[in-house]
Amino acid sequence: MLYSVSGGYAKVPLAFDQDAFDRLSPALLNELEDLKPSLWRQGSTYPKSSGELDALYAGGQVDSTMTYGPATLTKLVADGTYPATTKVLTLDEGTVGNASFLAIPSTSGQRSGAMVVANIALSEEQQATKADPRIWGQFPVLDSDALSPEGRALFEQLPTSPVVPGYEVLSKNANPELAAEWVPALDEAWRRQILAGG
Amino acid sequence: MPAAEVLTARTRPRPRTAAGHGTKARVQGLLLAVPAVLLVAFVVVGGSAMVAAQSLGLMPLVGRPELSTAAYTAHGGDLLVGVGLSLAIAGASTVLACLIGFAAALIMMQGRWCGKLVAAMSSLSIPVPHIVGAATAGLLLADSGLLARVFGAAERWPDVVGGQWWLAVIFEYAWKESAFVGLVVAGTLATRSVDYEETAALLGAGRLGRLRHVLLPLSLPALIISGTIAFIYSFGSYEVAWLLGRPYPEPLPVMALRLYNSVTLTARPEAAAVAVVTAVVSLGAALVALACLRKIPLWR
Amino acid sequence: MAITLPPGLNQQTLPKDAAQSGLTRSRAGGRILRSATAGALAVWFVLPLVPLGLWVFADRWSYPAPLPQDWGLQNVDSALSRGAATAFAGSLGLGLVVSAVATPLGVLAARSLAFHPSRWSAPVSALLFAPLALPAFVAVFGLNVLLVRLQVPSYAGVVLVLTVYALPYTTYVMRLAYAAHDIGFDEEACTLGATQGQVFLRVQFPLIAPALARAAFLAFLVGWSDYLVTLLIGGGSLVTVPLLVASAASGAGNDGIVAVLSVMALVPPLGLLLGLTGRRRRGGWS
Repeated sequence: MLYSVSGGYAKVPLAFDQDAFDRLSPALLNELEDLKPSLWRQGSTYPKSSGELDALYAGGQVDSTMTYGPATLTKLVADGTYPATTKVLTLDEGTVGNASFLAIPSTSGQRSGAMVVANIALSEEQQATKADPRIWGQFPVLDSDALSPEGRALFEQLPTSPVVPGYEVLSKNANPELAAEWVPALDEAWRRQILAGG
Repeated sequence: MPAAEVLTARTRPRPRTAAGHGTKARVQGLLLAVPAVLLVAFVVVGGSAMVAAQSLGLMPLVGRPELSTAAYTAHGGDLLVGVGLSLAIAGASTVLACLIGFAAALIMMQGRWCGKLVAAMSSLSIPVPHIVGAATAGLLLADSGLLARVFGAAERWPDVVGGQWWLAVIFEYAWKESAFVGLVVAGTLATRSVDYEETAALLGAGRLGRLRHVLLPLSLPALIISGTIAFIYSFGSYEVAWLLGRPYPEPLPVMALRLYNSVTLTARPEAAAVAVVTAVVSLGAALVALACLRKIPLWR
Repeated sequence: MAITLPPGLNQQTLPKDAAQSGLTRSRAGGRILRSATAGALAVWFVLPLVPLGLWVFADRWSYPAPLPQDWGLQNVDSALSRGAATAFAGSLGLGLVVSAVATPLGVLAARSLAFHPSRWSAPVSALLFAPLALPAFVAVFGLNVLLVRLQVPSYAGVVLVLTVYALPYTTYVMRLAYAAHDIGFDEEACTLGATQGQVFLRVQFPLIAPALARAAFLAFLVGWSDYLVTLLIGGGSLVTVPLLVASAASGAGNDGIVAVLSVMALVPPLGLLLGLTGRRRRGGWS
């Protein structure tokens, strides 16, 4: 949303800086303020977490929810938690996308062991298992052109979903994610002005 | 707690002490309590002291320790609102719990099937962990919960969960604590009320008269004790308000936990400051309750 | 933590015929009023547990259906695959360990308070009851730093804090039991030539056994139902049923799993409670 009101993600520096925040955040907060009448309970309060928003969606209290793990939708629709009419909405401007990553602390005493684990997590078998919606349903980070024939076969065996479009559709026009330092600043401004502002 | 028996215990003659009164025996007697005392002192005294030190900036995660009250004023307004909100939630649920619990105790005391039914049903809720109580209260009362579904209320269902009046939170506390208050008060009445009631009836007291002049005064100490325990518990407990409440304004424990888990390093002292305020109010409530108890002739 | 036992467990004597006395017997109008109140109270106490009973067996229950659309036991499988069995073992272990530590310490403290009154007794009992007036999260905020610096293992830390929160209950229950305990029996046994061990086994233990069971049960409940202490001091290394309930309840589509976990959290203490009351009824221990 910050990207959208700022005129695209290219206008927002990925690393946090206070000047950029002061310059860009008012437009965002105004937009959020204007949205209030259309929101759940007219924006007088908000769900505390994305889990709670999901629960509201499942309970028919809101018309949309958001997720970082679209592949889980298949199961949620199949078991009747989400309504059968659930559809994935991709925006023309694109949506924020990211890849989960593993990090090794600079103080780690087991550097090589950690690297072995990271390599296993990046293996074709593990990535294919992770992408299986019956297991976890997170999209793979591997480049599909670089896969071995056996690896490619593994991914081709994965079931397609009646609800979730393929990775090509979802990742098209993916916007990069802001640095973590943006989060507390945005969080605090939202809490003060939108949440507490009644 | 079965505060009920405080009274009965006091009326019994003090047991004679087994081991004479020599200094050695006295020291040995005192030593028996030492393990428990050490553990409690470590947790209660140590914990409170460390929290106070953190809130005053004496134990920062990074940087030099420096005495300051900044943590208390950082969220000045929100902290006061939190005190008010927590007091209101704990107060409302305690009043409800005492009223319902007292009514339940009166019914339990009558024996027969009514009393047995109520006693059995209320003991069902005793071993329910609060987090489970909160989860099931949510399944019952949410906008898409069981009651809203059964009544087909849809849009007309009131904002019970996450609403302005914190009704679901108050409901959960009142539900759990009313069983607690009921069983404690029933315990007191069970041992003491029969003779008094009969005497009063013999002297011509009506039902309301017996309630007002016999049953209520007899239950008062147990009501105060169990009510205070319930009040302090709901004032300082996190999970119910977190699960069934709304994100703003925040009760003190929810605010404290949010700051405690915040990624901002300066938030730790602020979390500690909220904890200190919670502890001071809780202690105040306990002292007020003790002062009230002392005024009651039956207690002395 | 506000927990108690039904009067059947707390009381040495129950007035079985409180209402049978002709003097206080109610008239018909009163009886109807009383039955109505009793019914309303029973509903009040049971109603919140009803959704659990339905959700446990609901394989499919989409909004706004008033009743489950598909019945079955899928939720049990889902709960098990979330680690319900491990959490159950974790909870059981924690409850038992807290009970095993807090009960004997409470017995010792209660003996000291009951049989060796001194000018220290008042401050000692004030301190032992202090946890009731201090919200657990406050103590945890302070202790977490201390426990980490002292390198106390997190499991020991959780047990330590929960033991302290169980001690007011165990001490209190045992203190009352000793107040009613006639030391004359011990002295008589000694006079008749019993050794200290025999006095304990044959005289003291049978006299305090019911209270001991109540104290142990209350301490078990403290460990069994805790959420926050396990979460903050355990730091995720110790998973118990309340922790799983919390994580499942804050997500979507888990209502059935929450119900299964909740029932798991209810069954053992209710079983213990029934066991305790049953034994008392049959007079086994009294």
